[in-house]
Amino acid sequence: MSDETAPVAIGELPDDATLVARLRAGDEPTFAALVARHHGPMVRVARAYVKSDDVAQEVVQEAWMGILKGLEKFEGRASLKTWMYRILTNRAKTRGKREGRTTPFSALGTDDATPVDADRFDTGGGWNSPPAAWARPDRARTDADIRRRLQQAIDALPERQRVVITLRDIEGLPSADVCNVLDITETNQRVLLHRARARVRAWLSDHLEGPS
Amino acid sequence: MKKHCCRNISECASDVVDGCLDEADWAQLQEHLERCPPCVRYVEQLGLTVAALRDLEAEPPPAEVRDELLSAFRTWRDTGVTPYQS
Repeated sequence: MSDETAPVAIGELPDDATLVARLRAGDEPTFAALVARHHGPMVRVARAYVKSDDVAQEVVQEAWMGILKGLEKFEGRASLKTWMYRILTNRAKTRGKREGRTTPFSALGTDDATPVDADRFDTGGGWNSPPAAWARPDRARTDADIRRRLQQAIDALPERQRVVITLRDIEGLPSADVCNVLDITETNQRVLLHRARARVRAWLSDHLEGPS
Repeated sequence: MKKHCCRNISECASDVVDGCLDEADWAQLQEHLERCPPCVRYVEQLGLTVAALRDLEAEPPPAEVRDELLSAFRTWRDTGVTPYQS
């Protein structure tokens, strides 16, 4: 039935017009591929708006239904992904409000008191502790264990950083779309992305440092 | 970029990776990188980090969630109705 559509790698999905046409025609493998590709990141994004992992799963399932229902009206003005995430964050916000979690995403703090790596610089802004070389830096992309644990490093990020890095770097949404979907300013988004990437780099460093 | 110290370079490294620095900032950055190997290393490592994130494999949902969604898809396809929508 659907087992042949198990994990889908980035880049394997067809373009938006093809995807939308196939979905409208009721093509189940296309829907299965879309779910396999986006469900995980969608849960991570939803989690920032609601109280528990279970509720985040529910919100994403509801969002998928909203996506199917809205397909007829999809005009392709934004990318399919961006449109899907807009449906998701609207649902997640409504659910968060109903749960009494009223702080909007944009009003949350900067997530960490000091910028990442701040103590690595002297008062003049020079490196106190310069970055060490990575042993076989290509392992960041090829080592299966490191790649698996990279996801855990993302999960350990402060909430808003996790959402921004998921949308920008994992889902590949352009910066303007991320600002729109999350209702945050460009500056805010850049700061969150910078901090998230710096933290993930530091995590990779802990696992890859050594003579190259 | 206000001042081209290493701290500022590290703070705009994310923009460098995205290729969204303006020309003036880019020129200042180049000048700094030419004489600062640790900053070159930092920018390179941040680029590798983003590359690793970009090709992280999709993490499929739990089988029971997937099956439920596919069953909902079939209902939608066959009846036009979407189940469990609040």
